[in-house]
Amino acid sequence: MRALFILPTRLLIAAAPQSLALSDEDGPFEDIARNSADAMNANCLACHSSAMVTHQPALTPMQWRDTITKMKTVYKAPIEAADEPALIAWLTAHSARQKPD
Amino acid sequence: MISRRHLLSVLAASPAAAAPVDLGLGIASTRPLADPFEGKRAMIVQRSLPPLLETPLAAFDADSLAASPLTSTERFFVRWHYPFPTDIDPLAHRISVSGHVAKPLSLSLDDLARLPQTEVIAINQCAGNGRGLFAPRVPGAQWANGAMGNARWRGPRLRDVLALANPNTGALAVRASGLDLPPLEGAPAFAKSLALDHAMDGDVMLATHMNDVPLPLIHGAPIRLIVPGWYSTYWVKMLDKLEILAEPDDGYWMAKAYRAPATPHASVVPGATGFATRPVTAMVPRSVITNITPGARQPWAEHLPVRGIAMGGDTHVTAVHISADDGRSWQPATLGPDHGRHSFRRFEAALALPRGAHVLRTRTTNSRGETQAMEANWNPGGFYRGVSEAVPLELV
Repeated sequence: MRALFILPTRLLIAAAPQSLALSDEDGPFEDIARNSADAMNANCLACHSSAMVTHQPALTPMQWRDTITKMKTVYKAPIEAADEPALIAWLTAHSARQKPD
Repeated sequence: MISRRHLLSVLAASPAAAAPVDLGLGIASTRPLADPFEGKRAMIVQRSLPPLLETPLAAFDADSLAASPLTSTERFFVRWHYPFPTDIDPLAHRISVSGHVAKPLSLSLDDLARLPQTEVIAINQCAGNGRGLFAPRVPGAQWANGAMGNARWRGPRLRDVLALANPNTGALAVRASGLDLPPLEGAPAFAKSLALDHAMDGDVMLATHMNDVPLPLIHGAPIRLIVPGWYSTYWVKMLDKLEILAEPDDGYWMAKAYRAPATPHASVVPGATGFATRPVTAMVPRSVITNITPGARQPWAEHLPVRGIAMGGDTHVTAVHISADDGRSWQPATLGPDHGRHSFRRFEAALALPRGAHVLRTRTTNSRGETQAMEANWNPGGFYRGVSEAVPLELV
């Protein structure tokens, strides 16, 4: 690193306000055959858009269960126990559909 | 519960017109290549919200070793854990310095601008860069090798900021956090700690500028932590709090997350359990080829130009070697200028190869003599990838 001269304050500070418009381009989860995406759309999108899930590799039902547990215990996702079978079913169906390109 | 407004906005979103790109991950390998929002161009969109954007390796390419080693800001990778403010007023921003100090402070950017300013060219790389290439695969952001970038950062040293608050005897660590916050109550706010000695070493700094312009919002305006040589997880964005701790940080993001096996190359046998872990820290030597896509089929020529970028981890790159036979034999590449121990360093070679199938590999050696392994490491977090990457190629 090299030291710089101390310049007049106003030249150094980043004073202009900034704003940014973000949007969700990932879209909602979609039904997979007989697996409705309703529970996925109701429980998963409060914290992240859908690509966080759909870009995961093929995970086992156990790995998906661990992931749901982490979302509940660490990130406090208010996932109803009654919704979990539908989530696991959709996630497992999604993983089963993943094929090497 | 999920906000209905959020759900409706998701349902109303129209997918961006974007060309897909295959990251070579095998399963779940395709991503949009898009201009996701103002200021970002041709990025691999791993996730819209909170944004995860990866840099295509071709964006690091240049046809001259003398070309700038800096990654353009519009192609620089983006990684946020939590939502963050999308309106920032630098003049209203304050950074609190609190905890085990004689003089708790609330500092404006004006206050910080009165301190001596420093600058460094340093690589900012996600600890999970290359996670998608792990075999077997592991959950998490499924990056290929483009969750990294190299920029010139400018601002005051952390040492000088902390000195203003005068840490008490017994101060052990500094915990940094920013304006990004978990959307659900009770989730752990993102915060990372450095040992006080490290925080005071004069290299760790706060950046108000990136590549000679004010730090863009998406990269953590108005000010972020810069920890040269260490993974990006420590480079806290939108910094607004520095807490001096007299106890080790037992928070989630140090004690539970971003931890890797305490083994050589942070590697364990897939499926292993019960191993000791430690926080991810300093980066390791790496190199990538930037002008050839793995699996490329291209016309034969007398000499095949091979170009790329190398990093020493947390010290200088001293050599890069190239193999065209999957690592059985090596030849030295020509290195570009050394822009400092925390910068990418360009390399190139011209290989005389016959027609047919080849597997290229590159291998960086750093100034401590450390080099890249031929076998990939594995750990359940997908951290510390540093293997000499294989690039299959067919010359026809």
